[in-house]
Amino acid sequence: MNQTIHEQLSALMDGELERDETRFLLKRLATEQDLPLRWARYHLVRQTLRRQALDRLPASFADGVMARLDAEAVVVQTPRGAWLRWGAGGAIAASVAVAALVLTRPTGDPLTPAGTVQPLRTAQQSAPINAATASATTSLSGEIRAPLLVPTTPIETAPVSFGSDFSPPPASDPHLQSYLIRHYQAAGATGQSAFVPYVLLATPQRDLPAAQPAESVPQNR
Amino acid sequence: MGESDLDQALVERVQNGDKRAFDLLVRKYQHKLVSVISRYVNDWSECQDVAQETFVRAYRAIGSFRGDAQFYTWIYKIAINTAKNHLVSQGRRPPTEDVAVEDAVLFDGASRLHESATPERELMRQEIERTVFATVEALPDELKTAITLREVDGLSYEEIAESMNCPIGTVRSRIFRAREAIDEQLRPLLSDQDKTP
Repeated sequence: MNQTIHEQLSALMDGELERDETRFLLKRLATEQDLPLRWARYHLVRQTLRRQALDRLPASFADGVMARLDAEAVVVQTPRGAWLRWGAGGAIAASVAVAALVLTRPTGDPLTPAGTVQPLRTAQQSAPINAATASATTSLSGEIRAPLLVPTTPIETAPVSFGSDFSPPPASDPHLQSYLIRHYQAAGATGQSAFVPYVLLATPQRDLPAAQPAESVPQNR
Repeated sequence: MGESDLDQALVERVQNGDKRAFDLLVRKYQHKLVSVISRYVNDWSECQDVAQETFVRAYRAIGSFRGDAQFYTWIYKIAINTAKNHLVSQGRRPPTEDVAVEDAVLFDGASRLHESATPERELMRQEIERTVFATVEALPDELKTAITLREVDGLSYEEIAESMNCPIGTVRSRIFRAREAIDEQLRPLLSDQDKTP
């Protein structure tokens, strides 16, 4: 029996022992005092045959190491790096989310109590556009869909597709606004694009300065 | 499973709380590590203390060992750092030149720093060497060939079986019998050395 165990030990140090045999042998190593000593000697022979530099330690050295691990209750420390990375990532994401909430905090509908979630129209909720819905939408042409974010200051709208040369009119014409919105809704409902691409541009209501002449723009020379 | 795979398997066992596996790693590398440490620390007693401290530190940190490098390379670096820290704590200056891990296992490379072995330790090493090589020389041919192909050439059992034209089980048995024969000669010598103060 001992011969078998010793042969298994020999195969183990060559990495040639089956997994089940390894498990069995490691259990035996805990109970048979001779096995760890034999394991150490086999390795001493290996290092000698391979002409590796070695200084032989007394047989009690390894016992001393293991006794110290027990006496000092040394534990294997789990790597904290991965957890730190995950934690740091989570903290950053949370910070960004909080900052975004604070900066873009919606005031909500004044008629809606705080904390009430307003139903939002999503792309999935939007029915496929057909002629019937198009006419229905057209019939609502006088209405403006409530924006998701209601600015606290009066806004005016301005098309943004004219390029940087376009200067918004200082005061919006309600008739023109109404026409543009109705046109946009009707065209959008039939799947066509409006002749004037139009988006709501939220700008505070204030006296806009007159467009500056091109000469006044500082130039880098 | 190769030798480095075995180390990785033992490390994983340690990481899962199996202290016996760490005991095997200590017994496997203790002589090589203390030899490296002795290039930095002259006093043999201090060498042993530093070696012990190295293994304790390695045990603590083994949870972070992921197998990107070989276990010996990893613990070798711990040994070097521990030795240097020891020198600094003693008010001594550590050497500016390190021995590369590849060189550290060879006698020639290891002697690049300073030779710190005492005559007694050198005599002990020579006795071990003489006993091992003399026993191998006296082995029957099939055992000598098997142990040489395994330990010196580093062939796997399968490769040795092909080379010697015999089953893998026979290779395993021959290598074991060769080790037993060497161990039988070596054991009394080591036992005497352990008794020597």
